[in-house]
Amino acid sequence: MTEDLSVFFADLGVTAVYGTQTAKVLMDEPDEDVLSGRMISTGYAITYAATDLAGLKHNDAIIVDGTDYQVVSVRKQDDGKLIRATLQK
Amino acid sequence: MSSIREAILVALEGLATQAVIANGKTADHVYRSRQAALDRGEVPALVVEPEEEQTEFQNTLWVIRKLMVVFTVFIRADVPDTDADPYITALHARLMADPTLGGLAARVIEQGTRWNFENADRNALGAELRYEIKYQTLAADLTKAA
Repeated sequence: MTEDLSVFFADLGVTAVYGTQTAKVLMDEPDEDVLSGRMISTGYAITYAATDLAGLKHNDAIIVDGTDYQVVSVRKQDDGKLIRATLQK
Repeated sequence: MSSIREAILVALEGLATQAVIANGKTADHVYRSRQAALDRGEVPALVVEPEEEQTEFQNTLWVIRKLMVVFTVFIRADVPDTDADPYITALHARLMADPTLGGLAARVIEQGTRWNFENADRNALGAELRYEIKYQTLAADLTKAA
């Protein structure tokens, strides 16, 4: 049986634009402590289907929900069908 | 009445404020002993705090004190050590301009700098500058210089 990941992103997903590619992604932006709790940072990250946003990598520019970001890192999740990319403004 | 130590820390906070203003920021980017996490809009920031004080017993009348003070430049940038450099340079120049702190101390002695990096939204840096402040007080009274 093949998973339909589009259902996963349909309700809560936002639009991401990477070059000529467009995809629905889940956006997270929790505040988190860095430098042993001396500074607060926002951990921008998107989760998307591995079949989308092909070639996304460190330093690439991406627009998520209308906001410009720069990619920090790209990592596969669990079985590799989902990818999580951390971002910075 | 405040101790000589407190007067020294107030003087150091004043020099830190001058260093921040010299870099085009306002005095509210300087904090004394702040432990609460700094938000995005609060950096760059310069935090001044005492770390420890060691004493050398001289006689029953007076004591030599070595106060270790840490200045931490918190900043967020692509190359944060580069962006922190003007703050470090401005602070050091002011500390060395009068290493007696207006007569409060015998000497301000640089001990070293440590850069702590962390991946954040842009690279975050806490650059810690340590200075030893050597001064004397009466053995029985922290408010009286000897």
